[in-house]
Order: sequence, then structure tokens, then C-alpha cells
Amino acid sequence: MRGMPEPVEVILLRQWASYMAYPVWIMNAGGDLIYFNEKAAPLIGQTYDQIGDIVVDDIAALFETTDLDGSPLPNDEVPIVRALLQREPCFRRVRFRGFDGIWRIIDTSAFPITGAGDRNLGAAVLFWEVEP
Amino acid sequence: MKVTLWGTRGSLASPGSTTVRYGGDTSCVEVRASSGEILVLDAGTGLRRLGPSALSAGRVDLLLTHLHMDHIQGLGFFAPLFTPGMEVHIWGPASTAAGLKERLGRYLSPPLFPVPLRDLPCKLAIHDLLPGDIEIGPFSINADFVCHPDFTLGYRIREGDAVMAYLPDHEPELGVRDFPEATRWTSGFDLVAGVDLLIHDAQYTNEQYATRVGWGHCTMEHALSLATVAEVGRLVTFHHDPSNTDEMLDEIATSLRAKRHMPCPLTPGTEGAEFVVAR
Repeated sequence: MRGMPEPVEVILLRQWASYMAYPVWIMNAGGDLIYFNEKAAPLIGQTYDQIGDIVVDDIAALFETTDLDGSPLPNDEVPIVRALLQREPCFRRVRFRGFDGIWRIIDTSAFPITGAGDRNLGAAVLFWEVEP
Repeated sequence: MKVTLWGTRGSLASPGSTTVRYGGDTSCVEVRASSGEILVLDAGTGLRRLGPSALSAGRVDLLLTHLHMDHIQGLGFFAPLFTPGMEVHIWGPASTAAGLKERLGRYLSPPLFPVPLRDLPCKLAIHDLLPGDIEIGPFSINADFVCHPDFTLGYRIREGDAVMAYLPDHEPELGVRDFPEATRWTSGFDLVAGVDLLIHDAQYTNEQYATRVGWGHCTMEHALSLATVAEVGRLVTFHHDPSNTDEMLDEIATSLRAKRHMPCPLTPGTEGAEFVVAR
């Protein structure tokens, strides 16, 4: 468990996320998934305690996001990626497949985590499953 | 380096018969290099008494952790600021809005204070700090934001092989489920890891903390837990609550020593105390 701490902005965001009643997913500046809360677990298919961090190179292989018609989304149109790379908030309704292999339609609101001094600390996404 | 505590109280200066031993002045610590250079950590009311002894240095570097009143109130009474030719550098946390000079000027200007910053006769330089490393004379300093309301820095200071850390206002266990073992999610851990001397917040009793979660402070027990995991050489607790008397602080420390394994000396910070930090 011992390691150098995340920036305090990310620590506080994780604390906030852990108390929220809707799913939250947090990525670091390198694009690694470093936390998701308990409400996100049913959509992702596992709990964060079960799987821990997921490095950026594995994310695309483990999760899939498409447009509503099933067509592939260019990487820079995936809301969390857009927030991370373009450093701007992004909202979009998408199809998402987690560990359990089930496709779900979700609304996603992603935003960059930008600290004082314009430091890029990562991105976070809030998401809701849309009733089928 | 030699470290002197000039003010150990938190939140509000609290002179009186019940605080006379640990002291009533607010946060101020002098760090003097073996070669004589001076760092001053925070500008609470303890700064006033430090001022005259700093004049002979010719230059003083003042590092502010944040701009809450108990950390800046001494500025208006700091002799080097009113001494022509004296070089004074004030370093403090950047914010997302106004610069450090503008924010300090809100205090050092009428109606809160009669002498505005621009009228100070010293050679004044003000530096906005972001997380990162700076070099000041013989000191290598790492600054990082820590868990406390409003932009607040903690400092890790090295001179030669000796290392100390200063986190006077810090709530490291806020929302951390596995505190202190989950060091990755514990604010300030990298600043304090392995230091020879840690000066750390311990404002509240356990009972006080229960009703003040999120106010940005912690207990002596929390500070000890962090110091234990971080394997520090000595813990000096600091920023005592204005309502906590000398007897209360004695009792908290005594009961903690009886209850917990002590991996390092635990010393409640006392005004005037000096520590030589060496390895």
C-alpha cells in the first residue's frame, strides 16, 4: 500500500467520489485509471478493490466505448479522453461495455483535473446508466 | 541546521496563565543554516520577537504555508520589513486568482493595517510558489500542496544531509479509509517521509476532532500515526488549539505515550524550543 501520494487535488477528488451516490471514475495525467467508486462497480463489472489501477495501455482492451449506433468512437471523442487530452469538459451519451461484457447506454460528463499553475493532474468522469 | 520555535499556537494568539508554558504566539519557526542563512517558516505573531535577531543576516527568506490570519499576522511587526537595505523574500502559495502580492496586500493595507506593502523600506521580493523544488542559499526545499482549506503548502527542507518537514496545518487522514497505511492517498506523505525532524499539526484532542472533521487540522495521535509510517526521526507537534491548556497538552502527550508504541521522540512544540537537525 505504501507509495508516494497523489497530488492533493486528486486525493480530495477521490475522497469526494467515494461518498457520491453516482458512478465516478478518475484517471491520472498519464491516462491510467487510478480510482472508481462503489457506484461505478456494477457498470464496470468489478470493484476497484478487486482490480486496482489499470494502466492506460490496458484500458482500451478491457473496456469498449462506441457511439449509440454501435460504430467505433474515435479516441479523441471519448469524453474522458477528450477531458484528459484537450483539457476541456465533455458530455456525451455512449454505449459502454465493462468487465461483465454487457453493453449499457450511459450518459457521461467528463472534466479535466487542473490544479493551480495550470497543472494537468488527470481527468474524471461522472456517468449514469440510461434506462433502456 | 538549527530550528527555533517562535510561535506554536494555532488559529488565534492565546496568551495567559494557562498557555504560558507551551506559548501563546501563533505559527513561526526559524531555521538557521550552519553558515548563518535564515529561513523563517510562517509569519504568525511569533514573528515579532524573531525580527531583531534576523537583522544581522542581511537577507531573510520567509516561507508562508498559507494566508490564514494566524500565519501572516506578524508581518506588520517584522523588523526586517521596516529596515532600509534589508533583503526580504516572501514565498507563498500561488492561487488560481490573485497573486501572492495582491493577497498579502489585503492585510497590509488600510483599514486592516496602516502601512501598505508598497511603503515598506526594505528590498522586498514576493514569489508565488507552486509544488516543486527551490534552492535558497544552502537550503534545498520541496513544496507541495497539502490537505487544508485554501491553497496551503507544506515544506520539506534539506541542508546537507539534515532534513526537516513543516506541515503546521494539515488534516492527513481526511477520508482516507486506511490511514496511515494508504500512503498513496495520504496528503503530505512524500514531504515527511524519512525526515529527521517533523513539525506537524496536532491542533485537536480526539474529542474536538470528532466535531471538526474537514476543518483542516488533526490530532496528536494522527500526527504520530503519520510520523510512524513515514519513519521520521523526531515529531514535534504544533498549532495547538487556543483552548488547549498546558495541562491538557501534557495529558494528551502522556496518555499517547502510554497507549502507543513510540517509534520516535514525541515533543509537543514549546515556544522557544530549539532543535539541532543533523544526521
